Amino acid sequence: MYGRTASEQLEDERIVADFLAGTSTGLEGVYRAYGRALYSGARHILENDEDAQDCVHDALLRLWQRSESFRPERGSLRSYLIVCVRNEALARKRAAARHFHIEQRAARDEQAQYELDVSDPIERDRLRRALGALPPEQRAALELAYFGRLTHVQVAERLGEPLGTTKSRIALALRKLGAALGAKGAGAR
Amino acid sequence: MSLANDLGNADLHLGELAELYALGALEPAERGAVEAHASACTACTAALGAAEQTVAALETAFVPSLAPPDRLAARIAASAATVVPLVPRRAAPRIRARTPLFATAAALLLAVGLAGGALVERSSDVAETARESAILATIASSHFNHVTLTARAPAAPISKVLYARNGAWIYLIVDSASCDCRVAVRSAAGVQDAGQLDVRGSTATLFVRGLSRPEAVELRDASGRVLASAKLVYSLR
Repeated sequence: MYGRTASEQLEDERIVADFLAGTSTGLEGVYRAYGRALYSGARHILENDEDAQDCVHDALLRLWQRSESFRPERGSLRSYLIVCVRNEALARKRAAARHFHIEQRAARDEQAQYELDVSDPIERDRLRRALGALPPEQRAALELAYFGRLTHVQVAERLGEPLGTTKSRIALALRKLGAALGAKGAGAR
Repeated sequence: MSLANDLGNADLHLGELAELYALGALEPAERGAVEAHASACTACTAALGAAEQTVAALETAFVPSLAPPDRLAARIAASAATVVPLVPRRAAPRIRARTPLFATAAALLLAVGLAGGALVERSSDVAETARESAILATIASSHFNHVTLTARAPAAPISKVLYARNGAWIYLIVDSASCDCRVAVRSAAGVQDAGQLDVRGSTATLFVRGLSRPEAVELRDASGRVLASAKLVYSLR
């Protein structure tokens, strides 16, 4: 995450070291530090407490068992875990949707439900400004992927654009967003 | 689709797939191919990390923060105690410490010389915080690799070593609350004793700095028998 203090970075390094060591204290330490963020992300997507708990537990255990798959070049363990749990939650949600033929909700419906609960309004304003600065076609593709939780194939279908064009727009938009937020360079810890 | 085959080609990199992965916009098979490629490609791992950092920022901004139920912490703690990591845990009972590792004397910082001017920092509880801060500061300001030690004896505890990519330091972490093991560092000059592990809670650690690209790290019992070892690999740069 951006703008972390030196003491937060030191704490992160301690957590990373213990987690990578594959010790039980490492797993518990990571959960203490990032459990709230991981659970919040899973809960937001799965809309169910029990499912979110299962998702976080299973994903975190799997990542801890294979902690060597996290390489230092990746950068932030927190970001890595957040994305892994998000991917796990999305996979479960999509599988359930396919199974029960449930239509995916529109992104705006999902957002409206939590509008008053967001805990970091300053960060949200910053992100909104950065999103607003993107070219409209890139912003639309990125928002369908992130807020709409669609795959790149679904985004292309929704926008009626070629798949290659859609993939490029999504990727470019996220890179520009990262640059606007001051993402650290590759390999930075 | 041919994604998996494409990524198997060493000349190709993830490109925009890094961002699509971080956003969760790929199908499961595509995600697997991306992870497999990234595991062998440093440049793509870094690109993935940058994309993940941006998505994490989106999550921080737009996802409501909810406290997980206490029972999830208990469930994870229970799993941590019972689930067997893919890196196999010890097959034999833990080694028992014969003597306390720290005396309760006043603050003490011993510098034990090693070949090439290596220093092993040891301390009492009083100096522990400062010592840990210095170690963490060194690790935080460095690029490092990590590798699990391979067991060479049945009694080997699970252990891992973090090591600076420039070979200047190692940080050994052993999953044992009672380990009177010593650490040896192997280099072109031979094998040097780097000192005894410090037990902290349920783990034992040793930080050794002032090294010059050691080739291997060994965990030895009190009699000098090698319990576990790891080869340290450095990039060509």
